[in-house]
Amino acid sequence: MSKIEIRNISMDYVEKNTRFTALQNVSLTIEKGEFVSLLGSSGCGKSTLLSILEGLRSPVEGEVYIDGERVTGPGKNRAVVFQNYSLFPWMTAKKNVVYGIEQTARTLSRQERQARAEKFLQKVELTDYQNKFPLQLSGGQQQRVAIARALAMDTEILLMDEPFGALDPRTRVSLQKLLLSLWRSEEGEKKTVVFVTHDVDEAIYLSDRIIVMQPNPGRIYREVHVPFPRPRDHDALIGTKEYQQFRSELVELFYHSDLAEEVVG
Amino acid sequence: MTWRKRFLRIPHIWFLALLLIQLLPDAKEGDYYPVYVIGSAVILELFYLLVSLFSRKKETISETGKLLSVVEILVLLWVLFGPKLDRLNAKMFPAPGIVFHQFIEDTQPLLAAVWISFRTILEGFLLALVIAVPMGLILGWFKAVRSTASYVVRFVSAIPPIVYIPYAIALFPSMNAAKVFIIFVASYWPILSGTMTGVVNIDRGILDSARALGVGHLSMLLHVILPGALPYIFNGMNQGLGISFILLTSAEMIAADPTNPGLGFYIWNYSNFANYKRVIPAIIVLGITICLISFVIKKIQDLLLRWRAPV
Ligand SMILES: Nc1ncnc2c1ncn2[C@@H]1O[C@H](COP(=O)(O)OP(=O)(O)O)[C@@H](O)[C@H]1O
Ligand SMILES: [Mg+2]
Repeated sequence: MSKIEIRNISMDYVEKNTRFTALQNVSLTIEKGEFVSLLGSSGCGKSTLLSILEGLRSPVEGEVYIDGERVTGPGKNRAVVFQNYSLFPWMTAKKNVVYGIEQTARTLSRQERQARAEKFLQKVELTDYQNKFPLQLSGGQQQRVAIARALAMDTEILLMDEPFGALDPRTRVSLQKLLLSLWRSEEGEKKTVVFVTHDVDEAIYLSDRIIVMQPNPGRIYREVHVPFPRPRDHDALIGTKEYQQFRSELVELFYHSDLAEEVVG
Repeated sequence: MTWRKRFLRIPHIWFLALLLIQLLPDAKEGDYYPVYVIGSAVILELFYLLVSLFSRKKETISETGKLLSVVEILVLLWVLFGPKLDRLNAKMFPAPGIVFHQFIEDTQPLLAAVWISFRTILEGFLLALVIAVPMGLILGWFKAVRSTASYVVRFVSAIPPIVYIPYAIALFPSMNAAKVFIIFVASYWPILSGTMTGVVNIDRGILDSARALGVGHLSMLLHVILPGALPYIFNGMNQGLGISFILLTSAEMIAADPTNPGLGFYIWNYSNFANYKRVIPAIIVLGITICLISFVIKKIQDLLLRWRAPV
């Protein structure tokens, strides 16, 4: 059984009496422990698809199964990181993580939750900032807190919607490295990750598989397996010929996915 | 801070001026209790010196200085146009020394009146807070009732709450209960409407984040919606409090209740006897009380909303 099975879903938005098809006949299966990226320019329905996986929206057609069970709402097997707004501004960094833990691990004692939150804040190197409020942290620090919370919740699935989209390029790469190393070093089974991005390099470095999407209506254009073995050394990898070759093919696809829109639209 | 920065400041000039102006001859003969003016000036000056000596921040010293300057200049003008030049109506504006003297004579009844008014406001206001916030959270949260409720709130808020005074007096067995009720109604609607606005204005992204975490209903209300709406709740509270002060003072004047004399009654009563040397201290005390309450609320607000300020 696949971890996540998306069966032929379509999604409409009705706004001012006009119906807009955000997703059309999207089918996709994701295996346990896989790191999958949804790649596409903005407006092609990546966030919509992810929000359906989160259980925040229901598709007008088709259904999503996780471990063979139909998704009807948010669940304790999924943790989410958004580009913004993941954190509650009125809770300190640590309180945010503790609050996340409380939602999934109700059996833990107060001390255990605190200790767990501290452990994960340490992993993202924010021990010194745990008593700060989100608005007192930089964008990169905020996303590290959000990642710490998502990992500390110990869910089997991690859903991330352009989590590094608002960061400067250096911070972005350093957080990609952090995310990969945390994902790989976790005890027990690896989490299944669905990661939304419009950054080609980010998708290649992180993913096992990249789903290229296209807009109007949002749908899957192509699917590509990333051939580079793990563990990947970011700086060494992007210097190789193979990487450049693979990257230019992917950029080509990305470009065509958008071009297809102009023909259709 | 250097010695100069601490002590070389303008308010000291007003202090000296207050002392020196007493050397001028009075326009008309009479006892204007100048000692009380000098005494008050000395107390203010001592206070300022203490602040200058111990304060760690330059701003505290200059802010205190500005406040004292205003007070001292006012008293200075009062002395000048009062006893010294005799340009003020001595009945309406008795000399400051006379008023300060009366102030000290009347400390007991004034404090008693402050306490009565304060307690009335506190009771009505807390009652409103305890009922309006949970109701506002629920009415704002559930879409089905939100728009209906907001029509009702808009209609009722449009009614000047002063019209409740005669109703309250007719409805309630005791004057005190009527006043508490008036404060309650006056603060209830602004707090309710502030809370509802706050709930509606919480960022969708944050609500989605909470939903995605799988937060339960109660925790959603307590840990997400309540803190998210808090800035607007404070807006409503401040509005309600402002109206409450006006209404209580009016109610105490309209519904004169000598058995429970609050500050409004105190002012009203002595105004009727044209006893302005007792009215002025009461007005000053009323102003100070309102400032103090607002100050405390502001401090609580800054503390509870400290997450909003990027440091
Ligand atoms: N709540 C909504 N109401 C109406 N239209 C929406 C809504 N959310 C998204 N859309 C539209 O659906 C399309 C896909 O949006 P989205 O899933 O956010 O794309 P992406 O994340 O790939 O940028 C866009 O054209 C967007 O304008
Ligand atoms: Mg998006």
